[in-house]
Amino acid sequence: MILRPQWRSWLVRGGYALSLFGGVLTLQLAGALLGLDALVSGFVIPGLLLALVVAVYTAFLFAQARGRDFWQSPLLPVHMIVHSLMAGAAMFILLDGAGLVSIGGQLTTLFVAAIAANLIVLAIELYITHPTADAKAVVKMILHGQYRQEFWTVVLACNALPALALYLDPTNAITQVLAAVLVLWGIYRLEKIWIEAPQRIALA
Amino acid sequence: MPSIIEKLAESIGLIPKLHHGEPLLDRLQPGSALTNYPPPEQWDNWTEYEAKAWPRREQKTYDIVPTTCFNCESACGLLAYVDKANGQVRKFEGNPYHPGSRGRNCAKGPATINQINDPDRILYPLKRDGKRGDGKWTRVSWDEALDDIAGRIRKALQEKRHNEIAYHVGRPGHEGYMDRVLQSWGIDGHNSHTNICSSGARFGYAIWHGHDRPSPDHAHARVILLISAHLESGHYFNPHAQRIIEGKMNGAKLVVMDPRLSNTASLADHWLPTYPGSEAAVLLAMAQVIIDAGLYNREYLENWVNWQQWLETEFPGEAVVFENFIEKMRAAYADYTPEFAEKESGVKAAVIREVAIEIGKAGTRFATHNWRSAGSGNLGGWAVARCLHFLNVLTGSVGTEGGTSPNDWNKFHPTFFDKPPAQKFWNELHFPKEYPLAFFEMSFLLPHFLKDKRGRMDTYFTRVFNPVWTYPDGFMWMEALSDEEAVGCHIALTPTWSETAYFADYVLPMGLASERHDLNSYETHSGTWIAFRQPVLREVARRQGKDPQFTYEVNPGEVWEEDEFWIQLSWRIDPDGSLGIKKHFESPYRPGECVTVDEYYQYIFEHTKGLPETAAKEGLSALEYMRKYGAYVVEESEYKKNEYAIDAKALEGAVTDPKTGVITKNGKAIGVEVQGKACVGFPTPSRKQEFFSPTMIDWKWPEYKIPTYLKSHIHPDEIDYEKGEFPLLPTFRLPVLIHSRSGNAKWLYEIANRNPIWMHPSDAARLGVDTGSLVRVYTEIGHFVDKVWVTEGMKPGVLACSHHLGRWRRPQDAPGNRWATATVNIQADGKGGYSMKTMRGIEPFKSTDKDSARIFWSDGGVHQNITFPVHPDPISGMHCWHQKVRLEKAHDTDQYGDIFVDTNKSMEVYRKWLAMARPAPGPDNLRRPLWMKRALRPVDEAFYF
Repeated sequence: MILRPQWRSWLVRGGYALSLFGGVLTLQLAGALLGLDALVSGFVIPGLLLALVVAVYTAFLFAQARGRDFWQSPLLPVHMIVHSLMAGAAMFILLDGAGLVSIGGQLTTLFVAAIAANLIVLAIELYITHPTADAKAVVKMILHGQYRQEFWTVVLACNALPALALYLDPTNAITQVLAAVLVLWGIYRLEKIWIEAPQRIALA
Repeated sequence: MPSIIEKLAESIGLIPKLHHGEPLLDRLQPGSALTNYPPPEQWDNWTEYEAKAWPRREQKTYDIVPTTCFNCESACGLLAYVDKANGQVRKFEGNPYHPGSRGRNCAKGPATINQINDPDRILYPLKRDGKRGDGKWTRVSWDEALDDIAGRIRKALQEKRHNEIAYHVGRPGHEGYMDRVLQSWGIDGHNSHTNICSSGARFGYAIWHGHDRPSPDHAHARVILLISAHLESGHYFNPHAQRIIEGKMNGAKLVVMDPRLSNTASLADHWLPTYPGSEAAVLLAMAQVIIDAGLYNREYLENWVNWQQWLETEFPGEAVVFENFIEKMRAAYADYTPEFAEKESGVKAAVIREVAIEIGKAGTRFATHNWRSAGSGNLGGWAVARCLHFLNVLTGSVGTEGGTSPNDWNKFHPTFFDKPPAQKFWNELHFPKEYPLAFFEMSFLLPHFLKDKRGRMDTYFTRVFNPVWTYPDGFMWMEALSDEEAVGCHIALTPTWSETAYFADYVLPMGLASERHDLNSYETHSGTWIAFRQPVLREVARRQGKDPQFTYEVNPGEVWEEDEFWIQLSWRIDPDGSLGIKKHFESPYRPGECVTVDEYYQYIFEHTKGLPETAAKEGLSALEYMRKYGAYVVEESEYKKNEYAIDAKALEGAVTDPKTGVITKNGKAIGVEVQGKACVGFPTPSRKQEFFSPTMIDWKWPEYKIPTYLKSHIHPDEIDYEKGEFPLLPTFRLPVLIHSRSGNAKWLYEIANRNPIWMHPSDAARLGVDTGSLVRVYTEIGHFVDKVWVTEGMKPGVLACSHHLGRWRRPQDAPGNRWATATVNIQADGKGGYSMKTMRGIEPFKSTDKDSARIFWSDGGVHQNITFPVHPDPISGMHCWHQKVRLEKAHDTDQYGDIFVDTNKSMEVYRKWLAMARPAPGPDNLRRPLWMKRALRPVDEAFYF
């Protein structure tokens, strides 16, 4: 895949993005360890751009699976970015809790905002953007079918509840850590649903 | 073009070099146009890349030779790619010059390569060693086998035991070849598989117009009505499927009657999930709607239906005018309302009305098809085809563009270099007096007749025929074939091991699609074509300037072909010519010498309309043309052949009946006068469509003198659901398998390898079973144990289990079809009871084919047919396949695949159904109506007792 690349495939593009991003992070890590600040700061911009690609390429990869109607949603890249922001914020909160970094109050605000954005994106994806029968069948599976329980648990326990708790008490360290863990778990479960459910539709 | 990264990675050796700078094949160069198929001018030297070598570009050069598929009955065109490097067939693809299949094939065609390379195939003639059925075999030469068998037959003929020689065909498809052979021997020895297949439909069509098959012109239809799943697996399904879809793309409506949501039903505009056996009621209700709505074709009915005969016979003294016919018909079908049909079938009356109106509006563009399914499942199943054809008659769509023609109009009849006279014998083992109207041989009653000592068979050939497995009552077949008194010598002509070959004296390996000669012609559409099946390695040898004497010299091992086998056998039966057989096998080109297979086909092709002229345009002889292209269109599209004028010469000395218009010559009807024109008409006594059948009255079935609905033996009145009873449909085909011939095709068994019981969720809930539950299914003579598959694709209250699966072999048998066969233990209790238990399922095995060690499936299905008794329809002679069964949850000791049968009960059921028959003689002491078709027709005198 890497050495005989087929450049139209997002599998290849994603593979290269992941490799390059991994390389940048390695260099920055090496810079930090060796005290070479220029190496760290010099790669911030390329690192940010690559991080963006790494965060969203899966959406384009899924969209290349033409038979899976649910993955054709134009909001899928937004969905991925929002999830990456949530996951990134959650990780920093956890690192902060472990005393490894120090975060400001703005990150908590960003975290809550990202969760709120996620709920809006989910609502649009599930209630507005699916014109085909197969996509509707997936939505039905998620909202009312076999994924119903898991989906609503994620929405309530892993999104709404942490966001509300942080909104009411943004500085409580225990709340922050619990919210971060719940959000990360929620992202894992939700993406599992997003990957699995559309593939339950028989193509023939 | 490779990317820079790829080039770099190749240059530093990280990945293999695939870009050596060698030129691409011309047709793959940028800017060149791809072709759908290799152009025929390159068929003797075609180069392409080897798929399995990818990504390396390994070029291979082939001889491409056309032949035809030997799996189902369609005989679709194949191109065999013979590798010039090793002389072996590499693969099969479609032949674009085949008019039926047009280059497209189903999975079974390309899978021929599996069958050729099957590590279990029989490569040499074998003779049994030890008791019949013991599984011990000795290799013999073709000469030994031929001399021994020829000696037996010669002795039987000399002793006037003509009726003790029989040939029983499973897969036919060689246009008249065997009729010629058997008639040269002077025997009435033809038996076939027809009555477990199509005799119901055949009778339904024949009683209308003499022709016994339909030839629907789907491509030009406005409404297509299919009884069952013809789009995916029915008769001629690949050629038909193409044309049904063409019809649909041109706007035709597709209507499908099937209790099962088949792939065909899923593509229908109207799916009518009829209760099995109720189809005729629905069709008659549609007829009523069409008549009431005035949508019938007055011109066609008035000219081409024997309505006057009906009025004169049944309503004497009343006016013989067309309006009266319509009124009487309306009265006759008054009870067949859509509401009545809904009660019988479960299909809503409103839907029946809607479809009927669409059919009426389609008029002459109404294509219909019924072959097996309902016609072969039910007592009185023949009425389905009869009532279906009634709709064609009402709409005037018989033989029209977009309508339904008789099969004979689209089927080729070859001219032979020699035609032996018809035999003078009538063999009652095949055509017993109880079934004078049967279409045709009562083949599935053969073991019962033998047990009843109605006769014996000295020499019995089975040709690609596996009744032990495919037929009902398989244990009765095993008993009969094991009885050396009843069957003197059983010779199995077969490409592969089968449950029947295990009980043979000789197993003679015959070639597959690319290893044999045959002439094929089928009514796949409105044209007429021939196709040439040929041994492709022999053709390659010929291209190389070699001239093998016999096909087994070039085939794998000593695999031969029937064509040459019969010529050589016949020659040896009558070496001095004293029996009058030898002369029928003398070459038309070399007097006194034995005809070759090439000469046999040369003569036919030289006498095929238009073929020599077409061939000459390419500088080829007719035979060379067929060798090159493998097929030829004899007639593009012809309709309304009943209106063809009788030629003036034939009319000389003919007499026209002033009342009926029937034209006779030398006592035989040759046509009918319609609107002042002498037309050939249809091959019935009235030379018209017989809405009213005097034949049914003459042969003791007056209650069925006009198209009627009969209640099936599995009618709801007969089923007690409270007791766990159900109707079981055991007949449906799977698109990738074919009877028991596909067991040696690994690709096909990889796709389909189990046959669970289809059951609707409501029935499953009632019985407390779920998908995978083991159930015991009781038939009238025993039971089998199978798993359940719960699906909404099945009509509630009806069960189904697919055909083809549940193949087996015993521990003592030669390993055969191991992709498909379980190893079973058969135990007889000595009192007529037999049990079968699966010892081992399908297992991986080591062989020359590495895939055989990769078999991942262990379940090969359950052999249901062996638990079915015989159900001979008293009129058509069809074995009525559907079963009334009783379901129980499996017992504690039951295992998947278990079978038990009591053959005493088999004989009881046989006698019960036999008693329903109304035996010959008919009028004038006849065995069978003279006007009706009969397989291997004897002289007219033999029709009389």
